[in-house]
Amino acid sequence: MIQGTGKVISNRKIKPGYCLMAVKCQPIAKKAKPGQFLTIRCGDTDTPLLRRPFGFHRINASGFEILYEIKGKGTRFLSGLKPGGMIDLLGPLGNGFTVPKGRKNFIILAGGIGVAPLASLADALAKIKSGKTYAILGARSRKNLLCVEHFGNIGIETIVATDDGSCGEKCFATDILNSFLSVKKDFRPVIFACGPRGMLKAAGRIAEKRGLECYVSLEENIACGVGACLGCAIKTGSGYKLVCKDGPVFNAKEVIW
Amino acid sequence: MVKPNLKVKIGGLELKNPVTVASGTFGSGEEYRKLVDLNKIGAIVTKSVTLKPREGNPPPRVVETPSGMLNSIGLQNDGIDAFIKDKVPFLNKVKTAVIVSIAAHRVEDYAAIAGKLDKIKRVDAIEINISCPNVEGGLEFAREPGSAAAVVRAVRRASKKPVITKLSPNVKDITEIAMAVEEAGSDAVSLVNTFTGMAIDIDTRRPVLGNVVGGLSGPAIKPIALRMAWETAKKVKIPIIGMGGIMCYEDALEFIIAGASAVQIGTANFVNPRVAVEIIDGIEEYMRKEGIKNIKELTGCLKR
Repeated sequence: MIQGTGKVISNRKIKPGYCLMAVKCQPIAKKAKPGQFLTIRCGDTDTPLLRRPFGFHRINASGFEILYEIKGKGTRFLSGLKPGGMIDLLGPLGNGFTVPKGRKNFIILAGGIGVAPLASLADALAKIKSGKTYAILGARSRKNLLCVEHFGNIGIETIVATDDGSCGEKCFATDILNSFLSVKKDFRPVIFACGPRGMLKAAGRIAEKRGLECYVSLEENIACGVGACLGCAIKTGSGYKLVCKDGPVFNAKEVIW
Repeated sequence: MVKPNLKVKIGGLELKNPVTVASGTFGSGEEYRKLVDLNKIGAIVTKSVTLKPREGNPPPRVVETPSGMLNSIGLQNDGIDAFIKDKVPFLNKVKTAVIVSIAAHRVEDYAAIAGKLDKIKRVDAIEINISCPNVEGGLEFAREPGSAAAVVRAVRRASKKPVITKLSPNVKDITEIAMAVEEAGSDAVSLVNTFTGMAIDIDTRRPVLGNVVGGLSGPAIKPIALRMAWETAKKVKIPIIGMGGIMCYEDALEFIIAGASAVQIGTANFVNPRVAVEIIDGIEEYMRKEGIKNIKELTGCLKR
């Protein structure tokens, strides 16, 4: 956990409303793991006030990428940053995705901007040679669909679903997950998911029904990011847990939806 | 020029400087150990502890509002026995004052917690939280001078440690409560706790917070908090610890000039974990520039 200054290397719109920012900050990059997050101070005024949390999209030796949707005051500020700009970072925070020992088959399930922290996980899973990883990417529409090429580029077979059918199948990502698992009965993957709460809940239920492990990355409003304020609590089978410190990745069966 | 003297006294407790971190915003200090030199901070006020464990309020518990934030944590904590077992060992290693915030529903529970803390050498003072807006009955003791005084008297009897009473702004007249707790033997007052507020999601037409209402903190409340600190300073002789939206050393100095002997930094810790130390440095720099040798010269120096 380090509070450090990052230098913006690039910051470009990849689709209307979505940006990809590359940041150089070696001390944080060196420690960051897929599924962990960092918080960024978005400006130096009272608006926005609190630091904003972002998952690491991709991680390299000297920096990382942040994929974000321009949605509010914080991300609007970020979208205006130019290469060379300096930002106040705090991270890596929380616990990332853990790949259970000996497991080789995986499914990455993403909904909308939820794909952001799954790209770095995909990079790691693609290196496990003896098994197979599939990605199921869902979005409201083609214009909200992100990173499909990236998954293809690293050799992960990718299935796409959109709510309006403008790309891939017209259904939810979890519908694809369900039918995929029905067909490939012996595949027995570990599922890693990030996206809207409803999608994660459905994924957890599908996994449980089939006796599969499912890990979900959850979101909550975050104030301190370090486990001090107890603001980002979620309900679990063993009481309230903190998204910032105990998560953001949780075993789906622990979460009370 | 000689190094300015930043030491302040809160009852029998001497702080190395007037900048402390507010209860609930800094955990027990351990959470921030990698981010800030805890030994530089004037005091750590730990998250309110209750007699028995409390699980806290349903989420969402925090939301940002214009120039501030609402929280409704609901006093989540593991109880006093777990605090002593799990948190004090770390605090033993920290070389600054430790003030433990306590909260309860009943006068006898306040006394019971204070009694347990009295035996812990590491605890330098007790802050009585009579002003949590986020639990049912949490404000009960803050609203009436008589009941506020009763809590202070009970804690006084149970512990020899300096007692600070944290006041709520959600009252008719905060100075009346301050005078009552002074009379009852409180060594200092800290003010203000958060203002009760709420936010609504117009898409779902539901309250944003799981608890419906929460406490407003941050820069949005600073002018009101400052006015309350100033009014209280005119009415009591005991030291005042000022807080409410302090984000920088200039804000801290405003509270001190208004009459505060020390300050607490709350929401700003979330924005910048190093802020308390930066505020200490800023105050010291200001004193050098202004030729002020002792911070006590600044307390209540407001010109009219």
